[in-house]
This record gives sequence, C-alpha cells and structure tokens, in this order.
Amino acid sequence: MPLLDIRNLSIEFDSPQGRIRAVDRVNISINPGEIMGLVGESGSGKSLVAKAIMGILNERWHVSADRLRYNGVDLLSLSAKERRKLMGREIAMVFQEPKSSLDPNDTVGHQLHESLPMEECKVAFFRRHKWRNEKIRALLHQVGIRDHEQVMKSYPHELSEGICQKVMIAMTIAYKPRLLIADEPTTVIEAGAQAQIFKLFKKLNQLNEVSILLITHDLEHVANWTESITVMYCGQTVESGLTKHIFKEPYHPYTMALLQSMPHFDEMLGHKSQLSALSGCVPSLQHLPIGCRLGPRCPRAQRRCVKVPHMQKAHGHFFSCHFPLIDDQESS
Amino acid sequence: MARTNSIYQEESIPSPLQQIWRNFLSYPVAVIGSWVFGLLVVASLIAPFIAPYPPHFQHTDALLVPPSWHPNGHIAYFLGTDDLGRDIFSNLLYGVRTTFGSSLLVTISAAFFGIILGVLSGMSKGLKSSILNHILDATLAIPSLLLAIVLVAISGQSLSNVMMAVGVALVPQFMRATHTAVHHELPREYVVAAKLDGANQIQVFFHVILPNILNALVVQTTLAISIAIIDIATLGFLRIGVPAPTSEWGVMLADGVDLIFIAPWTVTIPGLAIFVSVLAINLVGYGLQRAVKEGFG
Amino acid sequence: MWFYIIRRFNLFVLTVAILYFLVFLMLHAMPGDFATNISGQQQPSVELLTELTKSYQLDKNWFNQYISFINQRIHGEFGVSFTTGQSIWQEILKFLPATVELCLYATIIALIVGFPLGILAAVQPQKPADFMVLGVSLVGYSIPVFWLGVIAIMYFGLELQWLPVAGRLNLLYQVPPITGFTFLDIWLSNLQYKELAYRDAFSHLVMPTLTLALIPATMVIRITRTAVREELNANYIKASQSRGLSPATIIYRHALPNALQPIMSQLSLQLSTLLTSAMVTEVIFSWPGIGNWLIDAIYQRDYPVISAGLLICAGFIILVSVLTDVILIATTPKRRSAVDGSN
Repeated sequence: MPLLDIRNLSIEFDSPQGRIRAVDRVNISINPGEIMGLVGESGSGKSLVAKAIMGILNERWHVSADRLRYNGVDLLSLSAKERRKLMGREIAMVFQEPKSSLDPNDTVGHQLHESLPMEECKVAFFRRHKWRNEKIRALLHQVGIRDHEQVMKSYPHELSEGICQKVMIAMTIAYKPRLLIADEPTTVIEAGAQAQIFKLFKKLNQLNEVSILLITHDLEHVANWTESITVMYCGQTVESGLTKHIFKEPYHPYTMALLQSMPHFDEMLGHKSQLSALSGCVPSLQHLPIGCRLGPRCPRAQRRCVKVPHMQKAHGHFFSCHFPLIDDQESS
Repeated sequence: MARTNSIYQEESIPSPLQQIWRNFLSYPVAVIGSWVFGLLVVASLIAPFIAPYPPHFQHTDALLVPPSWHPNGHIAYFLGTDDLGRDIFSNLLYGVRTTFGSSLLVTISAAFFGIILGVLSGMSKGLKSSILNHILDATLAIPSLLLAIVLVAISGQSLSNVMMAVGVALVPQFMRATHTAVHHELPREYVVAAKLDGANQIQVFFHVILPNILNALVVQTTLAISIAIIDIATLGFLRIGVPAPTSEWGVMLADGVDLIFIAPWTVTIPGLAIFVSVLAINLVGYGLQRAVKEGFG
Repeated sequence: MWFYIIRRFNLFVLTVAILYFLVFLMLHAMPGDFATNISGQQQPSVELLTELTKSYQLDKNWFNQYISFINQRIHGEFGVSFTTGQSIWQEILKFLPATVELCLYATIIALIVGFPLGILAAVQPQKPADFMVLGVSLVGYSIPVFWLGVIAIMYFGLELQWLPVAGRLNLLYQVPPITGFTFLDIWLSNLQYKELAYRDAFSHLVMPTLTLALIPATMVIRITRTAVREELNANYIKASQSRGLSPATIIYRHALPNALQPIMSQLSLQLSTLLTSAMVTEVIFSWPGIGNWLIDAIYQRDYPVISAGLLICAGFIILVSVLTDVILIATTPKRRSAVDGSN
C-alpha cells in the first residue's frame, strides 16, 4: 500500500478573473522507504502541492482531491487539530530558505527545545533539562553538526544557510517522521553543503526508512539521488515512473525537452550553436491554455490537444499525452 | 508558433495607477469618504451662495432656538441658533471654508515645501544628511500643535497667522515622510541600474524614485489634512486660533460649552462637523493605503 | 552594543542642543525685551540688570548668549513667571507629575485595550471581527479629543452626575504633595480617611484618562494589527505551522515577540500626539498639569513660561524616544547585530 496516495489533486484560488486552477488533477504515489523527486520549472505548482499535503495553505486556496491519503488516513477529512497532530509527527517538511524559516529573535537551541517530543520524556522534571540537551546533541550529531554548543547558542542570522538547513532537518526528525517533504532544500545552499544534505537524506532513507518527496527543478539532483520521479508542468502531472527509465526513455515531449536542455559537455557543442529549449514561456495564471497546458509550446501538438489527455501507463511508467514519444522510439 | 509578446491581444492589462484606482473603488467606505470629501470641497466654494443668512447676523428675536426637528425648532433656522441668535447652519457652512478649506490650502503648501526639502535631504548623503536628520528630529519632537500655538502667540491671532503656523508645523512631518521614503528607494537595485545606465541625479529622481514614492506621499498628505483640520479646530477651541468674528468650528464649539446644559446642539453640531470631515479624510487615506497594498493583482 | 548606546546618547545631546537653539530663536522673536523674556524679570532694578547681563551674557554676541542660555537652564534656572512671579522651575516640579501621571495611565489603558484588539484583528483577516475592530479604530481616531471631553463632561459629569468634572482631588482632602503622584502621596501621608481619598482621586482620574486614552488606543490597534499581520506572513511562521505547533503557541511565542519591535518603534513616534491631546484634555478638565499651565501662559503672553514649557515638553519627548530606542536595541538580538555590524 502506498504511504502517500494522491489522486486528482486540484488547487484553485479566486482571482478577479474568476476561479483559477493552479494545480490540475495531479497524481502522486509514494511507497514506504522510497525517494521520489517532484520535478518542474518554477511556477509549475510543486510547492503548492507540498503545502497542500501539509495543510498550511491559507484560506484563499481551495484544495480538492479524489484521494489524498497518508497511510490510509484521508487528510482532507481531518479536523484542524487532528491534522496538526499528524504534521510534525508523521509528515515533516523542510523549506527552501532555511534561514528565514527559523525565528530570527530566538536562539537555535531554544527553537530546538520547542521541537522535541516531550511526551517521550519519562524522566523526572529536574532531570528534564539534561535530557533535553542530550536529545538535542544527539539530533545535531545525527545531521552532521559537530560543534553543537556553538550552534545552540547562536541566532539564525549568525549561521550559514547550510547549517540552518541541517538544523531544520534536525527539528523535523526529532519526532521520527515516516515521510519527509523537502521543498527545494538546497537551492540557496553552497555546493559543498548541498552534497552533505543529500547524503543526509540518503542516510535517513536507508537507516530510518523515511520516505522522501524531493521537490526540485534541478535534474542533476534528481538523477543522482532519487528512485522515482514525477514531472509536472504548469500544474499538471506530465510523466511519472522510475528515474532510470525516464532518463533513458522519456515518453512525454516535455520530459524530453527537459532532458535535452541539460548541456552535455562530453559532446562537442558547435560554435555559436543554439542550446535546445522549448520556445515560448510558461503561461501566466491568468491565461492558462485549455486542455494540455503544454499545447502552445509543444512541437508535437495537434488539434486533439485541446482536450486534457488522460493518464496512460506503458512499460512501467505513467504519462499523459496524446502524442507520446513511444511510437518514435519503438520505430527507431 | 506565436511570435508576439502578448498572445492575448484583446485583453488590456491595467497600468498600476489604474489598478490602484480600481482597488480603491472596490472599498465602499473609501468611496463614501471621497464623496463626503468632494461635498465639503464644493460646500467651501459655494458657501456664500447657499447659506441662508450672513454668518454673524444676530437674530435678536430667535435666541437659542433648537434644531428644526425639535418641537420648538423652526425650519428657518435649520440647525438652530446660539445664544447670540446666530444661525448655526450658516455659520457651519462658512466654517467649512475656514476649518476645512484652509486646512486643504495649508496642507498643499506644507506638502510643497516639505516634499522638496525632504527630497533634497533624502538624496543627500553623509554628513549633510546626518545634520539634516538631526534638525528634523529636533523639530519633530516639538508637537505640531505646540509649535502652532507658540507661533500664533508670537505673531498674533488672525486667520493667515493661524494658517502659517499650522503649515510650518506640518512641514517637518512631510520632510520626515519624504526623507524616509526616498532613503528606502535609494538602495534599490533598479536605482543602481538606472545610475549605471548613465542617469544623473535629476533623471534618477524624476523617472525612477518619484513614481515609487508617490503613494507614500499621497498617504502622508491625507494624514496631514486630518491633522491640519484638528489643529485649526483645536486652536479655535482654545481661543488662541482664528479670532472671534470669523466662523470656525472649534470656536463655535467653545462658544457652546458654556451653554452645554441648556443648548447641547451648539456643542454637538460643530463637533459632529469636525468629526465627519476628519472621518471622511481618514477613510480616503485608509482606502488608498489598502488599494496600494493590494497591489497589482 | 555599548557603542551604539553612546552614539544614541550623542544624538540625544545634539538633538536637545538644536531644540535649545530653536527656543532661543523663538525667544528673540517674541515681542518685548529679550532680557525680560529670558529671565522673567519685568522692569529689573539696576543691580538685577547687571546680574542678568552677566549670567546670560547679554552684552556679547549671540553665540555666547546661546551657550549661557543652555548653561542657565541646565542648572535649573528658568527664571520667573510674568504672572505669578514664582520660580518657573518650582512650578514645573509642581505640574509635571500631574501630566506624567495622566499620560502614563492613559498609555497603559491604551495598550491594555489596543493590543488584544489589534491581535484579534490580525489573526482573523477579512472576517467580521477584523472589520469591526478596524471600523472602531477609524471612528475613534477621527473624534476630536476636545469634543469627546466636553460631551463626556456633559453626560457623565453633569447629567448623570457619576463623576467629578474638574481637578485632581476634592479640596477637602489635604494631601501634602511629596512626589506629585496622587496615589503615592495619599499612601505616604498620614490621612485618616485614606480609603475615601483613594476613591476620590480615582473618580477624578477616570474621565480625563479615558478621554485621553481613546486616540492612542486606536493607534495601538492599527499599528499592532499591521505589524502582527506582516509577521504572520513570514516564512518561519509557515515552518512552525508545518511542525504542528498550535496557533496559540505560534502567535504568542513567535509572531508577537517579533512584532513588538516595529510596534514599539512606531508607537514612540506617536508621543507628540499624545502630549498634544494631553494638553487639551488638561484644559477641559482643569487638570493641574503642564499643558494647562502652558496654555494659560499663552493666554497671558507669559513668555518665560512659554519657552520653559516648550523645552520641557519637547525635551521629555526626545528623552522618552531615546530610551525606547535603547531598550529596543538591548532586547532584540537581530537588530542589535545589524547595528553592531554596521558600526
């Protein structure tokens, strides 16, 4: 049974031009112990999906889905209190800008105190303080921070983004969640710390059986660290399946375009040759195309594309396109 | 393949100014406030033509007549009369020019000088800016009413002196607001970009900074109008403002205080007039602030 | 941080010096003889005149006069009043505590009422609670303080006769003014009927304080609402929500302490409005404070008192704003480091 089962998730909001569907019938399915990547350009709605799962969207957004289940529990039917209990305990989220995700006027140590599971503390109250410090030390070492004394005494603006991100991760794993949603966790972090964070994710996944939903726009990260991916474009799922398969044989034109846009420096690039990219740009929310949203930009689009394509399955991966690249590959 | 920038040519995207105006119009309270404001401006212009009686004319046969809806009232004296027989409605109308009209004039001139000085001080850097800042701080510490009172005490009581005093007291506030707004804009990257493009100080100011500080300035102006109205009325109430024969709402209120038990309308009606005009301005100011914050949708 | 405090103190000294200069200019502009205005001695005798010339350096150029003016004032020498002939400094000591008392209580009430309402409005944006609070604050802000005072007197004082309309204390109670603050003085004295005295002082305080507190309360509501609203949109609030913290914890432990800083700094800008309203309130309720004294002096063209009052009021405002600044810096680490970093 999948740990996180999302079927036809739609997120809409009311604008002066009417109700706009920012995320249109997205399907995601994560199994226990799996690392899945959610890939897409900025503006494709990936962060919205993550926030909808966590339930932290504000009231302007309307979330609806056929199925939004975590471990069999329907998230949309929970009350606010029950939802809060689930968050932080079973599902945890790590954000894009770690420094601004920490309270700027509170020491890191104090914020870590707040995120400890106090109900596990079976110690008498005068020994609580020591227990808390031990726990925090253990957590910080687990995420790779050696100098825990210094870090605990500091304020967020005194630390680097890499360390802040590790602290955020430490806060989230205090409760031993089973699903960790990472929303572009390394975008603002320097390269050396990026590798450390990914190794940390891998460690959590292998040792603690934590499933990870890695949201990113960087294909390299996805290629190296994930087992399966879902590709989104403009609020619609476009393709999903195992990473290896998709990178070898993408079926959707958009995925193909994404893969082609990564420059291969092992081949010789012609002098002043154009880098391959899809023409046009991501449509704005006020002017979303009907049907398949890639329509105006897709090189293979024809009249049938004004109807939204259904999700089809072939060779172990799902895609939604009227004119997928299967036939080409089979014929070539 | 579409080659033009906007694929949807039939839709017109409103400019920021139009968008702010549209936002403003969608707040009913702000629109009501601006209607009242417009009404007051019109009233201050045509007061002499619509007032039923000359303002200081004493009707010796109609002293302390209550407003017309009271059983003892008379429709001829619509809002009643005071203890000297002066018609309150006519005095109120003439008072629109004194209290409201002069505060508009005062605010506009204070805005003119204050903004220019504020821009000069905001665009300056280093020691000059520091000194100007300190002088500003010192003048701002003196409450505007106090400054106005002292200036009137020095120069004597007359409408023009009151206007000048209130205006001088308002200039530091404009300077401060402009200075802060300009200072906020200067480190922005589009200003740096304009300078790198080769714009000199004046061009940078008019094309880059001014459009972005306009809304802060407009909000400050509405705030200043309400402060000016209250200052002029307070000065009148304390009898250190506009001298006796001129109709002014604060003075009318002060005159009514002695009669408060027997003729409460002499106090409530002028006070209501001040309240309504200040409320209207504040509603307009609030609507503008919110319209700008809502942004460009 | 100490460096910043020293810098702020320097600023304070500089600002006060400029203030003194402005008042000095005003004294020159006031009608009448400069020596008379600055010292309060009308038609001084010859010896007095020489003494004044020496202490105020009246025979030297304006710069020396300015310096000696500051010198005299710092040593508590404010001259005497035209009308009463009393030492102005003594009168200041008599009236200042009354004003401070009124302003203090009004500020406390404004904070107690305004803070929760502002938070309530910020937490429920665009809902009925928000609109009501906003409406009340807009209306309250537009009511002229003298109108409110007069109507309060008319209704509560004269018609219902619930509360007294003038003064601080009924003349029956002879309370020796030790500190100048009524409740303290009653407590420190050895009156027989302390209980009754407290009650009387309290009933005298009610109307002026509530009248004065309305406008600051509306400002507190507006400022709190804006500041808390902005904090609630910050990233770290979303992050704490995602960790499952309850809304109450998020507001009171994270949003509010962070919002306090902009709230306090904006509130300290409202001090001059508070003082102005206090002055008008004192006149209406015949409250024996600096405002009443100053306005009387203006009616009577008592120039030494006017200049002294200006110095005291403005100096007081500058002092309070500097103190607020320093307290803010001392208690908020982020700003402190930004300040240290910029030094």
